[in-house]
Amino acid sequence: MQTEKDLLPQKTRWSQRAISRHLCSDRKTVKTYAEEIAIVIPDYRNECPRNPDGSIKPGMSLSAYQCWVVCQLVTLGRTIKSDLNGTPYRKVVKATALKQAHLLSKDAWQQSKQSIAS
Amino acid sequence: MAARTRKQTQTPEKGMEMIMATTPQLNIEEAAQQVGCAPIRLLELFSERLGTQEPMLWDSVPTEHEGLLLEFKQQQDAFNSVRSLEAETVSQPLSEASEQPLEPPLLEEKPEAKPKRQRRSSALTKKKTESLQNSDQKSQQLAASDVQIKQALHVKKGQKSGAQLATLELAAEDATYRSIKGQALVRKVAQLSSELAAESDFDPIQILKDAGIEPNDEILEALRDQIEPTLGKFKTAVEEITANAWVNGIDLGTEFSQLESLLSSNN
Repeated sequence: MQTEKDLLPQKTRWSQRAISRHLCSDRKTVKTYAEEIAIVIPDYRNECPRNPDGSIKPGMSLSAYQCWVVCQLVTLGRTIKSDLNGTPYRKVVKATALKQAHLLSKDAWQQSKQSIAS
Repeated sequence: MAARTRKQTQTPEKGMEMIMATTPQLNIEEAAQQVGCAPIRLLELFSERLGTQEPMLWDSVPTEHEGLLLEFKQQQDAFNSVRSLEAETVSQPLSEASEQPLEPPLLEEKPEAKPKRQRRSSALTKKKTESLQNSDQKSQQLAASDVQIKQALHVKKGQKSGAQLATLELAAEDATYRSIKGQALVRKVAQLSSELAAESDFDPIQILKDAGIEPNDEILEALRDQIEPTLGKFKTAVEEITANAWVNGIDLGTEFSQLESLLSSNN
């Protein structure tokens, strides 16, 4: 059973600080996940605002879909962190996100929204 | 055993040769600096070129793909040169997919800001010259009133300090006058009292005894006739002094008692 807090945020865009508050995690953690790990997902990368040189704007605010992706990846990181204690688990998260990109695509997000609504 | 030892000796040597032969792989950030773009953009270029998403996980560029860096650099230079010539036209199609829905306010603000700046930089009009003259006059008036206020403040300050100095001077003069007058009076009284004390020690009968002359009633009467006028003068002088002392506000109780004792002893 999902409570109100577990539901996705209804805001159009979320700042990284707000996401860190929502996840009860550090702001730098969210920044790392949002700007270094989640960008391997093509749909996520397409929604990122860019600088003229092609780099992603640092400290960008995230859309509802991007927020969902970051939340999923942070949750995954928390899960495997205890098992991979002492190893660079974020690389594992990044590789997993790349391999399972179809599960974190925009279509998957919309499907999950519909399932929650129903 | 001999074969094993040969293998052991050859393996480290081969390993060292292999290590020395292999060139170190370029870090993604260094490679991105060489190409002149962001690391994420370089990874995207690799993934687009190779047709896989695997390059997105690279920390370093494999040696077999280093040849692509030069091609990417040429591509990036060409892109930058075109973008510098037609910055607006080139940036729009790139940002259509991602940036346009995210940052419409920035695009709207820029064209509005430019004409305002142009209008502001136009030549001086009559209204502007009038407003400039008015502001100049107001500033001059303000400066003059500022000077007047400063002068008035200085005058008030001088008055206050002068009044304080005059009060101090008068108070000091009064205090010194009173102290010197009191000291002089005390000295005068002390002189008179010492004279009276010297007179009180005067004993004519004792002097006559010391001279071998026996005192009789006639001699005593003559001595009294000689001494009494002087004692009378002393009495009047002491009364005058005490009266003056009372007028001057100085207490002479002790001197009174001494004088009274002297008078009583003489009587």
